[in-house]
Amino acid sequence: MPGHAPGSEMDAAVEAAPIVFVVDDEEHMGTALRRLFVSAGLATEVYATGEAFLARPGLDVPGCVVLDVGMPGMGGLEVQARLHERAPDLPVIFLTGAAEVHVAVTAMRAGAADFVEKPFDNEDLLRRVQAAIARQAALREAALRRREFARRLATLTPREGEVLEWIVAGKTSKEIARALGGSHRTIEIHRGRIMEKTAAASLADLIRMRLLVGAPAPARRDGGADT
Amino acid sequence: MPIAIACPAPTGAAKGGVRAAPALDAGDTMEATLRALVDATPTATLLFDAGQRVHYANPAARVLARLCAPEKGDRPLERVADWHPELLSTGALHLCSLHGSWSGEVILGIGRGQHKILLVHLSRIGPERFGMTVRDITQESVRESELHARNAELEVAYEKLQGAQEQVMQSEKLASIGQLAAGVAHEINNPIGYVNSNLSTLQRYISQLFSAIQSYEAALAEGAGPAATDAIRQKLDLDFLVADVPQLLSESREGIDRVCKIVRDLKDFARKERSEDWVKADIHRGLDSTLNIIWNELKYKAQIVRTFGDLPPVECLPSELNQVFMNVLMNAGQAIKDQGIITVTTSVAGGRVRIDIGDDGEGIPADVLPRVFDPFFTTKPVGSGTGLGLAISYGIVSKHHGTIDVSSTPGQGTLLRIELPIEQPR
Repeated sequence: MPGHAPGSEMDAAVEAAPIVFVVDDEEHMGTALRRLFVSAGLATEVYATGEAFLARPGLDVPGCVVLDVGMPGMGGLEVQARLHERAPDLPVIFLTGAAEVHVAVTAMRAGAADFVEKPFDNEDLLRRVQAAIARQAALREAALRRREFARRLATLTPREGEVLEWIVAGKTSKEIARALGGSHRTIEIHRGRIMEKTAAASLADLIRMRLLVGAPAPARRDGGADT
Repeated sequence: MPIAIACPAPTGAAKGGVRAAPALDAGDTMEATLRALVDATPTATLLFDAGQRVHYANPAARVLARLCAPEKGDRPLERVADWHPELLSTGALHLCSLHGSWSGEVILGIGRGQHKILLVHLSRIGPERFGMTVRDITQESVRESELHARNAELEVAYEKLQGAQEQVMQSEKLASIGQLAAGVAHEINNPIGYVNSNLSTLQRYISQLFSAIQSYEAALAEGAGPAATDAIRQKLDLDFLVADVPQLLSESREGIDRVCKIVRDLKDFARKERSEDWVKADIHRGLDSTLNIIWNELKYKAQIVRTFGDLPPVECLPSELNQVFMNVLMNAGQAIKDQGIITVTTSVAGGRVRIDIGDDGEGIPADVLPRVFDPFFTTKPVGSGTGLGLAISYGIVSKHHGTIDVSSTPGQGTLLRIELPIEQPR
């Protein structure tokens, strides 16, 4: 990640390999797309209906859905809506045989990653799928890191949390001691504990971590943190 | 001022007419009454002799004199020519002497480029005695010629209207094709989509095969053993290629076949025929090609149940009938909200071909039912229907001397029944 200090790299769980889910009622279209993605080294699963796809357990995974708009039974837009409830960050790329503006607008408003017309160009579609997968991976990583930072901040005591807020506000230990009451030395000890508990590599790293977790302040009274 | 001096004895028709009036018995009274009658009649009436000397002219005749020569004012009217030199032609007088009477229209120039059209009737009422009645029909003539002009205009308008009707029919046909266009695009873009994708993949496969050949050649040149060729085989995934290439090709061929079929169906459907192109055609073929074209519109919600009987070839305009089938089938599809069944049943009944198209959709309310064949009647939202589909279908079926009837039960469905004679009456 750009701007991400190496010292704070997390031992985040290694993400599984991404899967491309192809949902198209046209059997031969499914086969053609499988050829395309498999030969690009992507694990691919093909479903003939939206219902069959949604019945798959565990959709909240790294990957991408290539979704046909017009299908008998559940149409693409409805599949997207249902999927959003279960796996909000699984990107959806729509494929359509008849590009209709209102469908495209609805799809993009509902958060579609892309909207591609049939006939499509193999390389172009592949690039879009890979881009969607990369975007999702970055989002998932950021979310994961945020959760990890929040977990660490949650281990601070209420007092340490207070001191952290003053540090983030750019105050020196002396200023903090004056503001909170207590000796400069005590504040220095809190500071050390904070650096230790958060495993921050530097003051800059600590501030970045705190800002990434965002409001509300992680530890004021109960020391708990929102994740 | 009456000029006439002598009134001839009543003769001919006048005499007969008078005889019917019983109250008039005295000769005096009779003559006075007749004179009063002729004086009162609004038709200009003159009595004159062979020398065209006028013996009597009623007041209407004096009015006529002013009409014929307005600039002359009141003047002595002693001869017929005093009215207008052309009022009485010698030819007319001659014919009247010969046949007893003469009628004709006379057009008189009355100065300043104006004309009067007069209806003149001459009758011989005694030796050397003639009666003349003149009626000004200028107004009527003008009206009549106006009528002629209007009539001609109407005929032109009618022809235009007929042309317009043909145009409306053609544009309704085009409109329904336009409605189909999106669906057809979808139907074509799917196979084109995967054929196109497969071709790109095939290109990659082929370059893989070429590098396999090169690797094999190199291995051969080095005299490598089976282990080396196996390695090449595995490295380039040749087993997979060998299995997938035929499959890729046959699927692509299938896609191309589908596109060809759609194009063929569309051509069948949209062919513009001259109205004389009556042919004996297979109704089932028309139903099938129409169903194929609109399949994309229907497939998401309707199941089609075809029950085709044994039909003889029917003398018809096939592409016009296809349009009827399409209108009715599209309506059936639109009547189905989520999922439903459309039945297409054909049979021969009473020497006529019967085509029943039914759906189990929402049905048509009783108050709407009588209007479904009315032009411009539509229950669809503005812009999605022309309201002409069924009206035009009705026209087409009538042109085939057939009937189209609708029956419907709200909530249960609608049945359209089309009956056509097998041969057109001569």
